[in-house]
Amino acid sequence: MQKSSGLKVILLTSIFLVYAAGCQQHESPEPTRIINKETHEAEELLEELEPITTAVAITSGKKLYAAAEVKQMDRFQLESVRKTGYDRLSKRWPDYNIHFSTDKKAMLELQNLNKDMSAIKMKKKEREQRLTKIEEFMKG
Amino acid sequence: MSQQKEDLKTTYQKFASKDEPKRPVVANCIKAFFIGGLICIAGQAIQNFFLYNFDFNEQTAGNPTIAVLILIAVLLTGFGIYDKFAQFAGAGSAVPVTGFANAMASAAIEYRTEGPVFGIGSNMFKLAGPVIVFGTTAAFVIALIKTLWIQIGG
Repeated sequence: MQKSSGLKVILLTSIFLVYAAGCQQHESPEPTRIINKETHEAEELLEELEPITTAVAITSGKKLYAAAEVKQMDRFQLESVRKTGYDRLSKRWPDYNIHFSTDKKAMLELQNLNKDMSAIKMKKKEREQRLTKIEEFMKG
Repeated sequence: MSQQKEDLKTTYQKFASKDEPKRPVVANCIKAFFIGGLICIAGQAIQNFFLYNFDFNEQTAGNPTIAVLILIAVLLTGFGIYDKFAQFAGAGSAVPVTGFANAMASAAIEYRTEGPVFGIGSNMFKLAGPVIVFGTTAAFVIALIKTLWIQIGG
């Protein structure tokens, strides 16, 4: 009996802690650095959409890679969010090859690339390599 | 005579049900909800670990996450911890994939003494077998309905 009440206390405490952590105010995400006018515009275009919280975009030649984070409740409509985002970008840049995804890994990698590109002068080959990898993640 | 017997039976049932402890259905549901949620948080944490540290995207990270959860559940079953946890958690620990792993592992442990083939091999799916059978059947039926729906609708 003593043992089971101890287990209950541990479980209830952990439930409380997890929920308290969930209710905490989220720290605002690190803003993306502006690499060029197009990426900045693409990010703003995506962030204007209601379900999207943050977005990141990178261009390479005539290719535009973009990823976005979607609000919790709107994640039920991920497919339609992807479609609206893609339509919006392809309407603005009709002659570009656009890749848009809501995948977390693609978002993380694009953010890292964005950070690295602003910090160091990156070779085109390396950038292309990383972008091809990101494209793979977007397929999922 | 038979009428009398019937009366006696109902009277007894009424009498017995009065003293039966009531099942705390609402409390059980709440417990299951929170503990099931806790297991899912653990799953999410494991998925994030794979996302941040390995080359998985959101969809492919699901496979190693489930594998790790199953491994943990099987180990806990083997050490006898999962039973105690499940007694408290109820459906909260039975519905996630950990419950399925527990059903398989506990059956395997139970029939270990009967040998590896006729013991473990043939009894391992005693508890988990229906899940597979009805899961596959339900998936088939729903896929059929969906296909018909799309054919008619589109």
